[in-house]
Amino acid sequence: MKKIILYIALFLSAGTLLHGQVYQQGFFLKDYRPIYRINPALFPDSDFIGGFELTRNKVQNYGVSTFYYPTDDGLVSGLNESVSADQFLSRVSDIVARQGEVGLNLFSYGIRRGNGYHSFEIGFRLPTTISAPKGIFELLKRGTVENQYDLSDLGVQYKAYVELSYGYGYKLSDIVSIGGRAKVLLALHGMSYRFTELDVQKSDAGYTIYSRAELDLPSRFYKIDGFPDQDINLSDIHSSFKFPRPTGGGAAFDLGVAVTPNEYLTLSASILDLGALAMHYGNAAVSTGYQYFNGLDLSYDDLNKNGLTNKALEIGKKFLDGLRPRLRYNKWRFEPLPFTANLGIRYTLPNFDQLRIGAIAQYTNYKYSPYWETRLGADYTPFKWLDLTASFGRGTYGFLYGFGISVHVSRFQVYYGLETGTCGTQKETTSLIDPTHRTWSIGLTYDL
Amino acid sequence: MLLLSVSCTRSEYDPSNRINKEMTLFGEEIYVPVGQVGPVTVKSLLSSSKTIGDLVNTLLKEESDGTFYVESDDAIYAYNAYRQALEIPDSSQPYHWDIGSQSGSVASTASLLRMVNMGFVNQHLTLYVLNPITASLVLNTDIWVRCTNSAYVETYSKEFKMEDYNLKSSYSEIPIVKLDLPADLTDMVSRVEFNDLTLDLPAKVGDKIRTSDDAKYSFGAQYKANPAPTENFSFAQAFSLSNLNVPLGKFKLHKCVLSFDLENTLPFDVTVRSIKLMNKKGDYITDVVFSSDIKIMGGKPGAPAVTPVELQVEALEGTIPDIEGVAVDVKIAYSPSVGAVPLSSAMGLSLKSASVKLHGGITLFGK
Repeated sequence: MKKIILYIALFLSAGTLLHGQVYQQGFFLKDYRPIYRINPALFPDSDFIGGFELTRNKVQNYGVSTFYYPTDDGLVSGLNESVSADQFLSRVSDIVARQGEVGLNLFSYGIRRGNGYHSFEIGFRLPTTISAPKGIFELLKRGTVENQYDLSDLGVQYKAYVELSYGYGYKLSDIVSIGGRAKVLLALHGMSYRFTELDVQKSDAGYTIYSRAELDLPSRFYKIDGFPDQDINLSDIHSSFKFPRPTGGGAAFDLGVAVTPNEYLTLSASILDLGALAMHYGNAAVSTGYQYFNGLDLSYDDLNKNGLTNKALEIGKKFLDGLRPRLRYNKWRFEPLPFTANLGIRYTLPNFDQLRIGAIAQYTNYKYSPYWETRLGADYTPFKWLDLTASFGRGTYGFLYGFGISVHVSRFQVYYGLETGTCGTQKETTSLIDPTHRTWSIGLTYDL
Repeated sequence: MLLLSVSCTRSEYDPSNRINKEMTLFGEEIYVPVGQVGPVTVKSLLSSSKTIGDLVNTLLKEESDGTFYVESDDAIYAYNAYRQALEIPDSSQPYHWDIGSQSGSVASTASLLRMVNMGFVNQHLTLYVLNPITASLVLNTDIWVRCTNSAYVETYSKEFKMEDYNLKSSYSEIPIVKLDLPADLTDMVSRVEFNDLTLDLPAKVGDKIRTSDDAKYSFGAQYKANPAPTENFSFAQAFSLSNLNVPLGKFKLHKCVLSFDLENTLPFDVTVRSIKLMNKKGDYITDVVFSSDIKIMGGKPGAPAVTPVELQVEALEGTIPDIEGVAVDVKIAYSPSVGAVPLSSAMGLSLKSASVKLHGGITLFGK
């Protein structure tokens, strides 16, 4: 059971991915209530409360076409002989990574007081990352052509934390507004297994592998049997659920400024998620050291099928034993959050105020694959109760587009939006088929 | 609304299309260190093959240290004692028995090995007589021990004159000559001659014969020696192994280079003149070539010869197919740098610092 929990946790961490991404098209929507998430200097005209709002996004620097190729003989993988090493490897990033986040805003509350606007939010964030170095694919495709391979950054990790935020926007004048949001982060859970160093050195004598792998588990959920510096097995890891009080914490800030020269034009600039999260891992383990593979060393009795198999298994077991983590007491790990910078411009047509057009640009410094995008958008309000938004643009991975819709029923507003990429190009050479960046958001608010 | 979240997967990438799962790993080169292999000793080979083991064991015996030796006991001359007593004209008188000249070959087992030009070192010869009566006999003869080479040219001889040699009564064989042949002599003892052989028998010899169904005057030779390859030892042989059933075809291998230091304690120089693969029909696979004329130096225990070897297997066109058999043409010859060293079951080959380099990749999930 304990193992199953661990496996499920690892599986989840591999299945989803990312941090801090906001719903960009909210900038174009006419009455997007939590617009302060894009820029705390922007705020709605009305007070509101929000309930269930879900955002999910992912960024990955690979797609179907990174690994698959259409040929006359059907779809083949990049490891097929018909695909050259240069062709395949040129599509693979130095670190192949998939990062994502599931965000759930449990409660939002915005209230206007004079020239100021207060916002309170309670949310839950689940950022995850899985990464693999290019060297692994190079080894598989080309073989051991080089004498040295750096396979560091192989790993999976996820964190789960609660975000409590308070924001305040203030109209300095009819033209300029400023705003800020302070976020307190309370870490609930996290797990990480990653090779911070994995170097493979080839020589005539064989292979020398230096590895440093870290396994981090929070003590409020897991207990590892053993003593410091003792090798541990997977069977030594037990679930040990205790009421999830924070296992770490952090803080982040959003800052923004908005300029409204006239009632039609809005200029926006903000920087989001400047901060960091410190996680305490009550169960920390590390494996480090050199391993050598200088051959099978076969005796005469080994020269048969069973003998060779047993010898190979013996070496494999020895290698895995070398990777067995040694227990440490605990540790703190401090990690900055990926920050986002936003610039936007929005214009309402003076003679046709049902239509708004604009542009927004964003940059997020994700660890493995920094992401940028620029987007042109329009919002059309055919009826008072309906807003339609569409956008298109270009990002790190090529062309992208989005749709959004907002429906007002009485004081309720339901909105749904999708931002995605499509069939863009990567490294100017090949098409990337799957959207490598996608955000979707759904939410419900009630005007007070 | 979900309809708005369209997929942009292009038709040519549609996973419902046919997916060719074939992949070639390590397409340029993969280096696998193998390390040490062996040693593969004569003893281990003999124990793994009962047929060969039994064959060798009928020819050779083994000292405690593994050194092989041949041993034989051959009769040169034998005559029934009762019959001889009846042939004496006056049995009440002593009798001078003139046997004449008798000769015979020795080392019958060893002579089989000489057929493959094997030589012998540490040769020991014991000539003996069996006295079947309860009284002493007097022996006179002129003994010659002769050695010949593989061309049956005499290369060594030695004479032993036996004059009035007293053969005491004994139940067992009485050694009359013990000869250690010269250490540098590798030609085996091929013939022993008893010239002008006479025995002086006592009176009433018929009454003195020991009670036995097999009482006889017997002259014989016991021989022991260690086989060792010598200057003339050389033979070429083509071996072939069939029904190997090695299904390499699906892996689409192009070229393989095996590198190793071959440590040899066998006292032969070995030249691998050719290696050929065979297909299911038994035909040679001409598209796959091996590096040839691989020369392996001979060595001996305590002073192994180390020969760096690089063996290449390469498909000239296409890839290496399924292999059903292999034919190896080797020449094994005396190693001048080693000399005549007795063969031992502890001798053998081992590979040091062995490695495999595979060029062109390994294909998996191929058709």
